Amino acid sequence: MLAQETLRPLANPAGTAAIGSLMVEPEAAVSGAPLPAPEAAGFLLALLLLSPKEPKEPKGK
Amino acid sequence: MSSRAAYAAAADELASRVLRALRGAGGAALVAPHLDSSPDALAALAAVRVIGADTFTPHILTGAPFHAADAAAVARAFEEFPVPGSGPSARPDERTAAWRDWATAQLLARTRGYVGNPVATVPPEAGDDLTDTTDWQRWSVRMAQLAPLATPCLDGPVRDAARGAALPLSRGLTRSVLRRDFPTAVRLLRWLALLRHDGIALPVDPEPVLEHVRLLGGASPRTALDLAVAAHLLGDGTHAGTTNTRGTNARSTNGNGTDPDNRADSDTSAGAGTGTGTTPHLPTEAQA
Repeated sequence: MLAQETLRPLANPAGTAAIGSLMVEPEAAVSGAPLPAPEAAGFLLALLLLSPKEPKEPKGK
Repeated sequence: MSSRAAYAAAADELASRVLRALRGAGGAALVAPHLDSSPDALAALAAVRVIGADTFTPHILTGAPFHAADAAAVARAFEEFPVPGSGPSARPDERTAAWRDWATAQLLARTRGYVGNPVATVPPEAGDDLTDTTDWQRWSVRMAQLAPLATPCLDGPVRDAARGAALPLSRGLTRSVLRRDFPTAVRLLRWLALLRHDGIALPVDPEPVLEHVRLLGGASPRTALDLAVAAHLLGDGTHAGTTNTRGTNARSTNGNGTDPDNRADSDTSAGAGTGTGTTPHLPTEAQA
């Protein structure tokens, strides 16, 4: 009868240290104001610069 | 992928499973399928160590059954990754991890039906760093790291320290929200929710903070799990996703967390009928 041998993974010290760092996560760095899509900031700036000027009130009326 | 990144990904996967169980998605085993389905067995075991006591939260908060296979899987994680030393000379981070391991071991040891507990359940040495809140910024960050201990039916020095420190915890919560450090905020919110659950008056109202953090910072599975636990402790099952099941099941617990009928029932009724989030269950039974 064939016996099935189960291979067990071996943990190393680096793995144990990784677990410790995940269990004890430090607080995050202070972040800036939230932007829904930071990559769109340049696009929005371009739209702002390229937008036409405000229409002026027609004179003589 | 580094081992830390692999472990973090596996921890997120397990947190998602626990969150689904907390929402009442079935009553199947949690940890054992996680180990079986993961391509990286070592990372899956590491994830069990990282999630730790939170693995038991569906059982504690909603009465979902905790299977004997799950208990064996938790014990195997401790065999593969032994608990490091936590003596007086240990660094604060090591003592914090030791407290989390102690919490997991406590809940595992209380699981009836599982024989053998490879983890020492002696609490780590409680020093002044738990009770001294003079430096409340640093202290609150440490309490955030100890958030898995913010669960009902897990008494000990850490919970005692939290009971007498509603103001430092509230200060820490406010600070972390202002810093937009939402994972830390949610973890501190768990402690405040537990204090509210225990009937302790709080300097801040946790519900608006819960809503604020839910909208802005609940993307990570582990943060979402902390958020769901806090919502349960505050008696608001909607954030834990139990709205659909609330009231659809006539069975409920008797209030002392020892209702054997609830867990002896089918898996779905045990997980779905207690969505109010106000009745903790002692982890006293493992189902085969």
